[in-house]
Amino acid sequence: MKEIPKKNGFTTPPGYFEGLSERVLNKLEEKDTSALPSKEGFKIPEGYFDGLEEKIQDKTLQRETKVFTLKPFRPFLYAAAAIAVLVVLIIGLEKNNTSTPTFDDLAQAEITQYIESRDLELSSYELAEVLPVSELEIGDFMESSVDQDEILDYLEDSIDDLDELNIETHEEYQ
Amino acid sequence: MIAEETLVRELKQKETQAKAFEVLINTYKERLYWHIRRIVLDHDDADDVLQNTFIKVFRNIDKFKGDSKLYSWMYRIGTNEALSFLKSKSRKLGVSSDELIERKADNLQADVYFEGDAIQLKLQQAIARLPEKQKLVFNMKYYEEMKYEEIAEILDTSVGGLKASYHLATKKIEAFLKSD
Repeated sequence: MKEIPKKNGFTTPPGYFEGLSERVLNKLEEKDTSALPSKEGFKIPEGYFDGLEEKIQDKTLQRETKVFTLKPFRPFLYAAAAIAVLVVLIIGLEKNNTSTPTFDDLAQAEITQYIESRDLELSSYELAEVLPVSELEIGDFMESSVDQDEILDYLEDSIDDLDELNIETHEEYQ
Repeated sequence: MIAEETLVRELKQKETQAKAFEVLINTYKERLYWHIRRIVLDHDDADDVLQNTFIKVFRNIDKFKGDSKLYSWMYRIGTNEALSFLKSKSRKLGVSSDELIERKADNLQADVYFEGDAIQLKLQQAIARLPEKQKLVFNMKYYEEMKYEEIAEILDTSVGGLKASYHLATKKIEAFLKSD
């Protein structure tokens, strides 16, 4: 047995393993779709694209106008700001040792009332855009925690194709 | 065609903004419209989403830092607008987004702006039943003939993942078309 060489004599073309994964992925996309129609069958109203920019420009201008309607309130805002500055100065002079109020000092109810009383015009999508996703925990949205078994039960009941979950996980780690 | 950097610069300056915005709309309206239409399926919804997309682009142009191409950024806004439009519409109707789009695809024949034949209809029904990401990848690759690199930039994902998604999508479509 000792004389039998361990090498099997097989070789591969030079550089075969380099870019192998790419070649496999390229194979994946070589799916023959030639039998499928190349058009969807959708149509549009005649002349739809003509004058579209005008329609959109009108809407953006309307939004701009909204801003101008707030202008009459400006003097009041300035006056209010000036009074606020004076009050802060007086309090500051009288109580030099008082610490500066922070965001944490605000009552939750005051924050909620502020958000509710103002027309912030934020859709849930826009809110999602500004929330720092990486810093959020699931517990920030839910009052009671969810048991891992409950999650597994839920997935089992509601996901038809478990392969889908695997694909997403796989892609995330790419 | 006007260079992208020039257009972005003009869009950010008050004096040149209106004219540049008109150029922007004229340059991208058709491509963006079809991209959105393939997601929402009917013309009226596509029109709403398209207009909202441009308004959002206009309102957020100062936030565009040029890390990606302008059209990729606009496509991303358009895609997100279309998906959130479907979510809010389905919530109002008390169904899921998937159910809504399946219903829309199944009722395409009744849509005055659909003139597809039986196979085109069946293909739309098959696409409607794909998971969201596979649906987007299939439409962008197959109908819009975009490169994987471009799709990856818009959907903020890897090229490898996209190729796998496209492959799965075509397999599922094939199975659906053969189903009856």
